Amino acid sequence: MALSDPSELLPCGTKLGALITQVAEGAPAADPAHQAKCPYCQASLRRIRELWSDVRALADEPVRAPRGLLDEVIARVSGPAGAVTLRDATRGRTQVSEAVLAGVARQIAQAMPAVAFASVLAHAAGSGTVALRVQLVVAYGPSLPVLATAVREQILTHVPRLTGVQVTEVELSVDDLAAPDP
Amino acid sequence: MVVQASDRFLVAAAQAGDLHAFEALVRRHQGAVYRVALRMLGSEVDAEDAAQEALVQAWRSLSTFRGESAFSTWLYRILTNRCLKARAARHPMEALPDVLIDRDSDPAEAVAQSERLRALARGVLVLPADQRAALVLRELEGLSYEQIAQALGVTVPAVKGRIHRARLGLLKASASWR
Repeated sequence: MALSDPSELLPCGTKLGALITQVAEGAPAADPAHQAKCPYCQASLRRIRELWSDVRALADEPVRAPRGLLDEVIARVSGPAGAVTLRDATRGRTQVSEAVLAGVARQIAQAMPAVAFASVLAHAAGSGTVALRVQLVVAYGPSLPVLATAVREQILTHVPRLTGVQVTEVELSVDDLAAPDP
Repeated sequence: MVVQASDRFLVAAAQAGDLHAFEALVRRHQGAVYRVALRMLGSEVDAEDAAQEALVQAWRSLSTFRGESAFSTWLYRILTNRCLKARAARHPMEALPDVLIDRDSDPAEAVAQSERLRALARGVLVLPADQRAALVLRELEGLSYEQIAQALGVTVPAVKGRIHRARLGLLKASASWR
């Protein structure tokens, strides 16, 4: 156990580990009167402070995730998704994936001023139709029933207009209040 | 709108199958995940590999996350396990990326500091793996002892012991570059 390692003891009997903790954790000195006049403690403290100044500089180094990391991860985890076949297509089928329908509904919901984030799941509900489950994070302020109605109306109006897919239902919940961005 | 969805909301949405919510989580945490991987492994290529594997594994095992710790702590746990495995199979002491230099300071001192920081990062890399993980999470990521204990799956006293030994080891090793 390192706590009893003799190489950790300074000639004055002070434990090196205690001095490191003092610097690294900003802990008070165990024996300030001794420390102030002990050359061994002073020399060790100087070394530790210099090293920890570098440790903090290293911690503050800006390290950014590589540009492609997010895309690689998402590409690897996206599975095959369901799709809705449009009803009135002629001379070939037109399919719109659930992911696209969810994405369109999400954009519509997030365009509403009080909506901070919208999570949307889309389920193909039958020929040419989709059911949507929408969960919102909203900013504190607006009336929730009014907001919910407005979001539902926007989705019911614009999803069919943009995608050709009819929306059978919008299951909507307000699940969280948004925290201000730090 | 300058507001954010909480990790808890995003995790619940991702658990229900919303990949976009998971994407928001990855966007938020990828910097920390990559940073820890880089400090644990030393090479950018290995760090990116480990970060990618950890994030993919996070998606696959999302259903097992019960919210007993913060999502970030849970991610650190997956990542450190991954790094400890990756590390066993590879050579240490690969080249480290150049650290950035503070342009406002004296150029000679800036170069000297940059070299010291590289040596320090290498010094971290040669610590025993369990000590290194605890030290990186404490000194470079600023986690509490409790969070580190959760991330490493050990007790708080064990974490304190590892950090104590790691700090001593680092101080001794620093004699070679300071």
